[in-house]
Amino acid sequence: MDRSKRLFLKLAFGAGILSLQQFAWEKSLDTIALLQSDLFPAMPNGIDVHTIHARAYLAHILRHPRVSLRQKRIIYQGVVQIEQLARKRYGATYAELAAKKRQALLAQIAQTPWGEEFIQEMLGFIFEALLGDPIYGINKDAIGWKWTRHVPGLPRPSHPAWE
Amino acid sequence: MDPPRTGTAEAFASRMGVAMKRVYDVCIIGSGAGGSPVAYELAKAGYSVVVLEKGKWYKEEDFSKDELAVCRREIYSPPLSEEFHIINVMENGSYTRYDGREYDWSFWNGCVVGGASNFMSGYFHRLKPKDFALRSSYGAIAGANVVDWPIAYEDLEPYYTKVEHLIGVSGRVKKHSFLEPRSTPNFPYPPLAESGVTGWFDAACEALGYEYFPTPRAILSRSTHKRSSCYYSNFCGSYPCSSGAKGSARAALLQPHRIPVVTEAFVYHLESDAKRIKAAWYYDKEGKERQVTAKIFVVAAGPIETCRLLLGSKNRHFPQGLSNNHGQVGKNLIFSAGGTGSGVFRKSRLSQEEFATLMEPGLFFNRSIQQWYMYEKNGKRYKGGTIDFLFEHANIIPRVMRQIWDEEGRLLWGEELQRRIEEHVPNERRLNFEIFNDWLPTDGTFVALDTQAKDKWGVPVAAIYLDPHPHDLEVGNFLAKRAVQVLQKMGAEEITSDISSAPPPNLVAGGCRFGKDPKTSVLNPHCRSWEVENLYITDASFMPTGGSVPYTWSIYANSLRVAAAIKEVL
Ligand SMILES: Cc1cc2nc3c(=O)[nH]c(=O)nc-3n(C[C@H](O)[C@H](O)[C@H](O)COP(=O)(O)OP(=O)(O)OC[C@H]3O[C@@H](n4cnc5c(N)ncnc54)[C@H](O)[C@@H]3O)c2cc1C
Ligand code: SF4
Repeated sequence: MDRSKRLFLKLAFGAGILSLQQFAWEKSLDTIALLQSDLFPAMPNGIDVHTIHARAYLAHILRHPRVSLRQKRIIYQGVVQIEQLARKRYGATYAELAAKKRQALLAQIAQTPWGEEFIQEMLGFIFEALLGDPIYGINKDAIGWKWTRHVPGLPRPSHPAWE
Repeated sequence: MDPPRTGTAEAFASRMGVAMKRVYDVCIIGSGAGGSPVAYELAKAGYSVVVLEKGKWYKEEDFSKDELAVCRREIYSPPLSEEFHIINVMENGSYTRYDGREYDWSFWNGCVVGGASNFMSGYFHRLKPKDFALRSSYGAIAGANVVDWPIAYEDLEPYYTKVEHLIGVSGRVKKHSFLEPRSTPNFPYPPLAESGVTGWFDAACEALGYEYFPTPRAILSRSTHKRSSCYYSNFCGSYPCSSGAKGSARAALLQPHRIPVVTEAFVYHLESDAKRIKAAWYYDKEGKERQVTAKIFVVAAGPIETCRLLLGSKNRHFPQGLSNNHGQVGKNLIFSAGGTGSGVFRKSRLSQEEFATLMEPGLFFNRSIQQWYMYEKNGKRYKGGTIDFLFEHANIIPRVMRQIWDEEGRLLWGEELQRRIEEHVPNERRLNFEIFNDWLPTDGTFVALDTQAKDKWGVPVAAIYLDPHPHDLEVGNFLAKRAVQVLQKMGAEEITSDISSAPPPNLVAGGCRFGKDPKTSVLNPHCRSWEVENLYITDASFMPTGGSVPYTWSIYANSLRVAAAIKEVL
């Protein structure tokens, strides 16, 4: 049987200081998209976060009632904290930094529990856009499945089931 | 005729062109593995039956292997923003409160017609005779409420056999030290097709002197007149089945036999006098309050929700909740203890032929070991458990996600991560093991009503209290060591094991124990309430101890047994 449902407590994440309404995340969407391409850069085989529509997908996810408050908060708070860190360390916004400095910031936050969770969640949703069924407007031409040599299960969905 | 998909009991009756029947013989709450066998048996015997189910009715053609919808967004369970649990975990001598919404901690297992049985993997094991007499066989354990069952294996055996035919169990009986007594020589359905890697496993076990056997599965290996055979979809556990081969309560019982189910009916209150339930109150899909009256009520909403419904159905006769004047409802909740582990097989270490064998999709692994179902250590006798072996789930997102950590536990991203994905994902396959041992019932693990949180209907949610016994880990680790030896012998790499006290939400039982003493149990040996004469409970709540196997075969069998008892009194 599949015990994958066995859950473990994730104690690194607290109840959260930031209420979701407080955070105007649409304004940060450009930063979020840039973070996506820093975490998953364009590959020679044509895969990049733009072709899989990772940005639009994440924007959709952040509004979706079936995505947990915990995950949404990790992303909201992560963006706020990385911006704060960029200003503190380099006196500029994340988007204004050169690629090398952005990578240095990612390496720095990866050493913290919140940063680790943030990168993990961001990658999780990039992989959803890369490897979910193309019926959702992602994983264009099944490019992610071809790359990982994944054979999807049949039947595939005939319509989006959770939009 | 299509099965009734939505609507109220009254609407259903009128659609069927029959006069509205005000008093059903039997009203069943919850259409999963616990509720459906009673509905099937009594409807077949000609009684008027209605099932109230909070979820929708889906059929084979509605299902797909949509990983995002089924496994990531969990569309067959309620959104946690609307319905959730409060989980209180014993940590350093006091309970810490976790709100399921905040911590993304779900105890839902699929709220649709057929319940969680739609999503199970169908690894099917019977309990052993000694599971029915744990206390008298092994004695008391300090801090654990271990008791004997009020029935014996022989009482359940005919129903285990009936389940093999009715639900459909495939496999091959192979003698081993703990093979339970059977009234038939073999399973009615031959074994499912197996991966060639089982040959490597069998050789490893033989070299180690370990007894193994093919895991029985609640999956049809050939078609019947109403259900199609398994088509080896490669995406079984967690997914509903598009062929009807999986022995879900819906595919095997409700759908082919057209049992009336009122869907999207959330039962929130059982109205009673001092002795009998008068009505089950539910919210229909429009949120309107409705009621059903019946001679007998059978509750099978899954242990946590069953306890919640009883505890919430208070009145002056039952001020602590229905059937709870001895304070037993919700007590001794149990899960399956144990954990998981895995080892990896890689292309780089295999011949071309071996690698092709390894990667062949769809075929089942189906191997189990029960050699240490009971064992001795340092002169002490222990109740052990079951080890099932299975390939890692074929879902691609978790397989890719696992690559974000390297062997040293360093978090990766960017090109380094992309290289790792390319190198690992298409070129390796994991073989997992799962350990099942008894979760000892304790005073600290129980269900209550939360005093603050309410769901979208304004009904108090269940509070789950968790305080597992340390003995569970000791046994789990003993078994995991043996499983690891098998993987080592097979030549697997990166072998890990993780035995923990985390409760698997899909393997839950207890909370309304059956027993011989009304002071220490909720139900009598026929699973009828001691206090409410027309209330029966047939989900896994009745189990005072869980055995060291997943529960569903026993739930189905017991439900058939109780149906026979209900027929006697109707
Ligand atoms: C992914 C997964 C894999 C599994 N694999 C295995 C396996 O390999 N082997 C095995 O033996 N078991 C397995 N199981 C467990 C198995 O599915 C359960 O043991 C079994 O379904 C429990 O039966 P039940 O009747 O107690 O609950 P369920 O089957 O969950 O049924 C309860 C029903 O009650 C309904 N309900 C709840 N509250 C209310 C209410 N208030 N009003 C109306 N209706 C209500 C629910 O919607 C649900 O349909 C697995 C489960 C899952 C989720
Ligand atoms: S077809 Fe077979 S493998 Fe696929 S879900 Fe059904 S029973 Fe499982």
